[in-house]
Amino acid sequence: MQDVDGSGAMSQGGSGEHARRTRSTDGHPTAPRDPSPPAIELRSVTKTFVLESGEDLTAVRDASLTVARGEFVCVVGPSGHGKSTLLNLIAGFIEPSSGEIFVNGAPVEGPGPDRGVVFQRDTLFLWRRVAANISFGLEARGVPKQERKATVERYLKTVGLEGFAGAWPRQLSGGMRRRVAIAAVFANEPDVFLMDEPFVGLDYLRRAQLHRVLLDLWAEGGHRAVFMITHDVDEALALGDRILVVKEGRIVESVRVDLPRPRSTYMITGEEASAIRRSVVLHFGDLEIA
Amino acid sequence: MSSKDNSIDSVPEESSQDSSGDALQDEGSSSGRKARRIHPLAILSFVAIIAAWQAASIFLGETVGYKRVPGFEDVFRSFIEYAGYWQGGLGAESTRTGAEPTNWGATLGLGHNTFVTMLRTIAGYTIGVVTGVGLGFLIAWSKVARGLLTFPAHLARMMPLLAMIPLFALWFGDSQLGVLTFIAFAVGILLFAITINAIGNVPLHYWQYARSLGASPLRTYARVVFPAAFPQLRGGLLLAVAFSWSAALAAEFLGQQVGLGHVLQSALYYASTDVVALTGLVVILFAAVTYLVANKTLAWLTRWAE
Ligand SMILES: Nc1ncnc2c1ncn2[C@@H]1O[C@H](COP(=O)(O)OP(=O)(O)O)[C@@H](O)[C@H]1O
Ligand SMILES: [Mg+2]
Repeated sequence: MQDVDGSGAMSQGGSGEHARRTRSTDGHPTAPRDPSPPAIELRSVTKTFVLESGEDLTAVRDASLTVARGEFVCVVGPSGHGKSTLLNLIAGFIEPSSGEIFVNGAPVEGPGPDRGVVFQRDTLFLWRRVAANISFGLEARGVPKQERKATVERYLKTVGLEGFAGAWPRQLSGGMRRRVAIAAVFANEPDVFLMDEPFVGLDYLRRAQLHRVLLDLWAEGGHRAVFMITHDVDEALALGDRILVVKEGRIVESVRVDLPRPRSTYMITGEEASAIRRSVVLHFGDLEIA
Repeated sequence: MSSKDNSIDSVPEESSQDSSGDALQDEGSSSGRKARRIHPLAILSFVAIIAAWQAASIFLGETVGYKRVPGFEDVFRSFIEYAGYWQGGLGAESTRTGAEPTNWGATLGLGHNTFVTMLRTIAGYTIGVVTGVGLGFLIAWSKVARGLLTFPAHLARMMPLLAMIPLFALWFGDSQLGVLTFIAFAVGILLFAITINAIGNVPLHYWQYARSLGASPLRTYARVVFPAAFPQLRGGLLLAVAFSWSAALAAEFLGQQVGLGHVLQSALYYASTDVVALTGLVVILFAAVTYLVANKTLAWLTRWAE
């Protein structure tokens, strides 16, 4: 596929020509897979929940999206507009009502270790010490003990928690727990990272530290794609190659962030960034702020 | 930015910022390991109970041929009567052969009957816990099992346990198996209900997280759902200790030839309220010991919990 960098690959309503064109180049959608398929591909995905009251609630509407290998995509949008539902669909936790989802060219059928998920809520296994938390996925996948040990040590070091291998999660601060959670998912070496507001509730400095950890891990992996939900446009500007705006269940905008890396506070408050910020924020509506 | 730089500046900063004990909290303060001191009021209430008992024995004591409320002296003097519950051997002959009761014979009689009841309690408890918790997990696991077992299990919970003892006696005769089954039944039903509830409370995201790390459903169940539910079983597991003692005594009371429940039954028959009281004290002592052991063990097993 030609849009390896993922630029403009999302398709939604009137702006969907690109994706459609992409699809038509290989004839039909289910033709033999491209040798290097995109990391994530959504084709007209809709998710409708049937509520207990019997009413239907369409949380994701006709979403199409292509995320290239190695691409870091940030998703913003008002809360309750379907961001997490989108992520849960890609993770395989829920099934689409219609449409198709592919990860590395393979259709998604339930959760799997090719997609690592960092949840907003703390998911550390409290009954496992820090090192055992990080090695959970490795054990599950049958990685030999020696290799597990080396991997755990490496990732503990990357997130700066070498001294805490033997600690229980309850003994760690919120920031340290986040680092363990991220290390546990990265150590499992998935191809795609799905993160749902992973840094919510942490202060500015703590976040900046975690951003660095995250970018280090991302750079280390090379080809890994990240799909990260955030409610903070500045965070998206600091981290993303691209920012998607989700509104009322639709992907209404996809903006490239062409700032060089590493990015500084100066850069993400500069003119170019401000233009992106405006185009993103205006999708939230022209609110009367004061 | 290299990861090394990152690790050097972040840890000390973090541990100094989070004053609320972010870096390692001291291990000793973990739940369940707190040193417990006896409250002064507890001592007061203990003394009050003893005093009330003694008063009751003085004012209501001597009546109608037997002691309605035995005094302390009577209770401790009645120890010798346990010699009557010794079948002979180990240097103390059975009183049934006409031998004089001795303190050694009484010790053996009390020891033997306590030992038997204790063994039954522990064995019944273990079987009950394993089947109750196991069935709970099976039901949460399999839709078929849920369909088949939920209704009978809830029905079983409704049944008055004590009223079922004759039924167990009918089924099992006065065999050992009947006692064990009865205790296991009482404990199992309690834990079955608690287990289902505990599994239902395990947050869905644990399951999703484990599955997305590559764990199979079975592994997720064994390594994630079970430990996540375990702290919620703790209360039930402790309650079941007391429960299994009661069940053991009740079952022995109705149709066993040995065990503290049998001692109670036969002492009541002869209106030996002092032996009944002493046996009650023995039961309280051993039930308390097993409760404390279970409590310590469970505290250790859940030492990771917040
Ligand atoms: N499992 C579910 N069952 C029913 N409704 C749901 C479910 N998950 C999400 N929703 C609904 O879908 C909408 C989008 O939710 P969500 O994707 O969590 O939004 P966001 O992450 O953008 O805040 C909300 O109205 C929410 O109530
Ligand atoms: Mg959300």
